[in-house]
Amino acid sequence: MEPARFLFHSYRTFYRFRQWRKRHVTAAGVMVLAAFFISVLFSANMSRSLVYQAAVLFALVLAAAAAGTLIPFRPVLKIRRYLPEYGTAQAELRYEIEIHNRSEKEEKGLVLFEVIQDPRPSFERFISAREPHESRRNAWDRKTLYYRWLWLVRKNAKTAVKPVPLPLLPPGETVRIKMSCFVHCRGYLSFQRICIGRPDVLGLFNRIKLLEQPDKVLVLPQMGPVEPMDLRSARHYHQGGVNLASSVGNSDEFMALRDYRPGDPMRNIHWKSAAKMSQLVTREFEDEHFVRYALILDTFASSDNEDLFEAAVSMAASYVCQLQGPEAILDLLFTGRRVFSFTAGRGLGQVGKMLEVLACVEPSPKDNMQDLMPALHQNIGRISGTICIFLDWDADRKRVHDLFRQAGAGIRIRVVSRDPETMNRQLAADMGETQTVRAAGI
Amino acid sequence: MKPLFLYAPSALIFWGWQMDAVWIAVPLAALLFYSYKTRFKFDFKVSDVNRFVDVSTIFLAGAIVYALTVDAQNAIWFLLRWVPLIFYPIIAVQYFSTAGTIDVQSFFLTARKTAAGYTMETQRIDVTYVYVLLCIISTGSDPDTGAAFFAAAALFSAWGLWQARSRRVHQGVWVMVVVLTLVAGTAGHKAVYLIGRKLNRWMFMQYRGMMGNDPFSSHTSIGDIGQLKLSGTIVMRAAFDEYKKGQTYLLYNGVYSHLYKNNWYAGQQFRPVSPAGGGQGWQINPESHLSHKAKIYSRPTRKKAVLSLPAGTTAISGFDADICQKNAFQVVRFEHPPPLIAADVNFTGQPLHDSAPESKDLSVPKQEAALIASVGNRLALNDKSPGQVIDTVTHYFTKEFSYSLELKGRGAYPTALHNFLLNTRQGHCELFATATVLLLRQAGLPARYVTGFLAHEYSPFEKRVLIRQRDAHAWVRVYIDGRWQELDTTPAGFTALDAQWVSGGAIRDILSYIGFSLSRIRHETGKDFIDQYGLLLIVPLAVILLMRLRKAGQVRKVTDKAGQSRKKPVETEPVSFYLLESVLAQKGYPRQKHETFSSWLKRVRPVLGGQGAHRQLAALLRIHNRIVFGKSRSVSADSQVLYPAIQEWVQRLKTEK
Repeated sequence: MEPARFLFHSYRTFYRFRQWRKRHVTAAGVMVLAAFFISVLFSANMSRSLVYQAAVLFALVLAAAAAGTLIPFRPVLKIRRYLPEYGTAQAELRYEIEIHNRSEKEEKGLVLFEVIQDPRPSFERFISAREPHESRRNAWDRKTLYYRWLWLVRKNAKTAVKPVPLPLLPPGETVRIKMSCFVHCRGYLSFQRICIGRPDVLGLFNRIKLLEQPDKVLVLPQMGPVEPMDLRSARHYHQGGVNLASSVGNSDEFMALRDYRPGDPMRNIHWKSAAKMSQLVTREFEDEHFVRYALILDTFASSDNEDLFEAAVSMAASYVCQLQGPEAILDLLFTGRRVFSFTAGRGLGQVGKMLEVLACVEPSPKDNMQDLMPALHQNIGRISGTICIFLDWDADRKRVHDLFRQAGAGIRIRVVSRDPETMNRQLAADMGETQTVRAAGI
Repeated sequence: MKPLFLYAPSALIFWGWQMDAVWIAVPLAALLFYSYKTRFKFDFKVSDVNRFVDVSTIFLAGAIVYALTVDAQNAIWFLLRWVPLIFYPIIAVQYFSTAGTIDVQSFFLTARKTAAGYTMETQRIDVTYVYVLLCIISTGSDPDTGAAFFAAAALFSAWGLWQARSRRVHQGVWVMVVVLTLVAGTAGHKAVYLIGRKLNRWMFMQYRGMMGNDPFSSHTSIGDIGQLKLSGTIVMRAAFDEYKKGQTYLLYNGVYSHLYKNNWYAGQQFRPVSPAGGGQGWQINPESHLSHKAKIYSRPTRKKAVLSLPAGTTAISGFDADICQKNAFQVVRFEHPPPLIAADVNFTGQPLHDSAPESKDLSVPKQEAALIASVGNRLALNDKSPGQVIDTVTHYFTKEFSYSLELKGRGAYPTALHNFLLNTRQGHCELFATATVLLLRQAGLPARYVTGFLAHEYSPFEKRVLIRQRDAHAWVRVYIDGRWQELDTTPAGFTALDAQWVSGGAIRDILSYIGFSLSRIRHETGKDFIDQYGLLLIVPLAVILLMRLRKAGQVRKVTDKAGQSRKKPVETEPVSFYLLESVLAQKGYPRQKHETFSSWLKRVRPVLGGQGAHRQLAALLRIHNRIVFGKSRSVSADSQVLYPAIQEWVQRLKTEK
């Protein structure tokens, strides 16, 4: 068996054992087990030390506790999990579990374990993935791939829910437990089952009752404040419908006053307000003229750059939230080779939908920016301005910039980089000093 | 689990009590106890805790250096004895920290390093239970603790388990289970002790060759079935002064006279040998003009070590041991020898000093009597002179028998010796030696069974004869013409056959030589140096410790529950501008709380004497501010300007009415 495969199977087996151990052996049990093994280590020479006596004692304690787990455990419980619609990466997820004791006897001293869907990666994923900054690890770590394994498991699991001691469950009563867990990564967080553990008399081992309770919650990307982007884009006539224009464009019916943007008709300028504000203010009417933004997310990340990709997704989500306002509409999303348009219907609920797409977007290392160009050419007429979040800067990506410039649409490009200063120097050398293309750190 | 009140201090005091270290255990336990009572805690960061763990690690390294220097053989027990002290900094930092637990990553250097963008989840543990366990195991390392150890182990186990008990069951049930477990443990550890003794005995029987020689009995492989296990491990090195190429030496470590079943026994008591005058070793026998010299290196595996010596040893010197003893068969043993024995041996090469023959030296066991008589008759031993008997027996074994390491047991015969003499005619040295002794006795010649090593492998590199475990041998001492002589009837060339069975091991020999050389440096040539200056090896560790503690001042102190510390005002250079302020305040122009110094100076400008004085004081205020707010390029230079000027102003204001 090749070494990597051997390591993979070893880690898989060890992970499974560890999960089993976490459910079946309490913290005190681990301590007594460790005490037993340590005392056995020093028990070889019985004429020289008395540690063997402690080893015997610990062995008997463990045996008594293990015998206690043989007593059958058949709780009659009905369990339901109440999950929120969304969670957010790098934030706490709070939810509740309702437990109904359907038996005629009270249950106390139980422990609840959440079981997440098996997060162990496939062998192909294990071999092809690269942990962020893996090259910085020492030769041994790179050879054994243990940290890569930990990273993949953590990424797939998304969270680890700590066991929760249950309160007294009176017969026929329902109890609600508040649960919380810290979610590391975006995507679907799948709960598989719930385990109810009953500790033995000494509290060293648990007898486990498994209850299938599949549920899942979508974890949105991490969002944070991002620098505001002035796309300097002109408004266009869009066939988005009056429902869109009434929110973000202008029409014949007066709606509100707003700052003047290039392209606004002079006759709509509200001179009184302009005089008061010392800047041009224009009247806004309901019409089908509005500003439509698009977001282009670069998904062409190699396996070495998954951290960059995650940062880019997070930045994209942040812009999606920031740009939804009364002045513009962001309803086009380009990721990978696909285009997502959220203009259907009469509402403007596209923020949630776009975040859902971003929550599930995966890197596509086999494709490149050329594959996206046909979709951009096809849709460029619909776009007033665009925000591009790139993972690198090269000729293909520059072509995207040129395409929007030639079309007269506003464009702002942010290149996510581990070393933004160097990237900024590279961009300045290529594009000159401009605010259009800039680097952003992780 | 929350640590129980007094749990760790009690364990520490128990350890000190049993280890005669109450003087140190009580103050340390009192410090832990104080942490329960006081609200005085430290807000340790992970890096601070790491330093305390490092301190313990350095203590451990220092203890290892010390233990290996002072008593390498008992180093593990020494470390185990002092382990509660070594790890005390860790539990102390936990008890005096506001967190009350320790991050697991502090214990692992690999866990401390985190790759940017990916940080391992932290897991905090309470080290109280681990520390109590260490105290218990440390106490158990002293066999003199006796019954108190088990009682304490039971008490602290029950004490710790109480916290973890299941709340589902009544406390009485828990007590009952624990009591039953402890009772079973009391009986169980006694049973385990008995089983362990039997196991040790069995292991000794299996690997006795590696455990040193027993001068009272020699358990042979006669009658066993299988393959004789030989090892190429070098067990001794010997340098003979008059060594000639191809010469072999028999080094004996056991002489036996009584055969029972398949084992040989010697009922000889050991008597002490007085040290020679001037601390020059031990005079085993009177010196002879025929004396030769040899230097023999060996590693004792027991506290009472039997030395493998050439026949006719007269004097031994070159190392220290508590007691030297010998028995009537000239077997010599030492009590508490050094880890590497480097013995200067004077010897004659002839067993001249063995005790005179006794009746036991002529006895033949009943089960072998008929066989030996039959073979003796066939060889017509009774009709021959002693010299002829020796020749006949030697010729008989060397010509009609062959050497083999295969153990064929007794087969269809009553004893293994029957099978050997009548059937297989193949065997190893123990069979040849045993059969020879019995045949010689049958012929009326007193004979004894001897075990030891055949030294034959000369190493030109080391210029010594290497003696491996596979060179273990058995031969005969026979009494002829009023003196004992050595006789080896094992067919010649058996050493080559032994070597075939054992895979060569150049690497093993190189490692053995390196280990031997290091041992010589430590125990022979560098002994005095290590004894005098060995502890200086701890100095580099102490330097590292000091370097690690250098930044300890970064620890933040928390003195009350709210976590707010009463910080003393920052001590700065004495600033005499405040002196000016106080003087003006006495004159009725105090600075208000809302006023800055500059606005105050503006207000009191008329008092100071107008615009010029105000400008001068404003310049001094700028210097004052530079010093106070750390903007001064040279504090001393600014101070030299500021202070005399302020003093001058103070004098001037005081003199003015």
